Amino acid sequence: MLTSDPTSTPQSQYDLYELKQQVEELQRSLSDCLDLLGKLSDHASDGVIHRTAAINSIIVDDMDIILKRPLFFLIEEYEGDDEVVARIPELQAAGFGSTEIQAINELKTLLGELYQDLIETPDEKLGKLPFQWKRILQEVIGIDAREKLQR
Amino acid sequence: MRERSYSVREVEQGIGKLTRLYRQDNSNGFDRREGKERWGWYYVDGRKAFFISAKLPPSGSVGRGRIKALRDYMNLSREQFDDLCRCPLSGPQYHAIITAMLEVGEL
Repeated sequence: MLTSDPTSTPQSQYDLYELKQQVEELQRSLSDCLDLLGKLSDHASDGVIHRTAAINSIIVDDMDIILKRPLFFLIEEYEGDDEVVARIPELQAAGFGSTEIQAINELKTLLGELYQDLIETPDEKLGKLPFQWKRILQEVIGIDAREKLQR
Repeated sequence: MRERSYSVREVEQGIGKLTRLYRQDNSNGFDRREGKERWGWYYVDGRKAFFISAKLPPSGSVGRGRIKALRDYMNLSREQFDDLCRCPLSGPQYHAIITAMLEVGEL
């Protein structure tokens, strides 16, 4: 009797190819999961508690300037530290304090000082990052508030 | 990996290297201004490259969150920050790291 190899038909070769693709996909997913697990493990061993929040104003010369849209930031608390950190990674800005409110107020004041410094500096004297920060802050502060500050 | 802890003195020593660099020619290094938040600009060829908020407690140790933020401000890895604060990395060597990052567009 003539017997044929079950993997030699076009259909079975296609199935085999599909199976190989699925295994590769699974391997990639597993590798991503392991990466994520590694990062989570680093994070857990650092003892950091993160959560996000938003500010609706910044402080310029002790005056609250309402923003056109909220700026999101991270609150970080390090295990064993008495300090709370309020950080906006996009602007590389951070405020510190023994309470969340202190850290947020320090961040708002720093942003106010940074904004004032940036608008007083001609663009050609700014590097790539400060130029981006200036654009971001100008955008969130809005024209009305900017005019109020210039008065 | 856990953030290392540093004394105020060690961190001041690291920052001091960058301010001395600025005092030499006023166009490269860290110009620390005395505002409410005690922050300043790091200059490369007379342009503001990034800012560093260097407000530290009066004495004792610096919190891990503040160390992490300082490292981020300074664009340094844990090892490089350690070298800066605990000696081998000089101000000009730090500046070379920053200019290399600027050249490849990382900053």
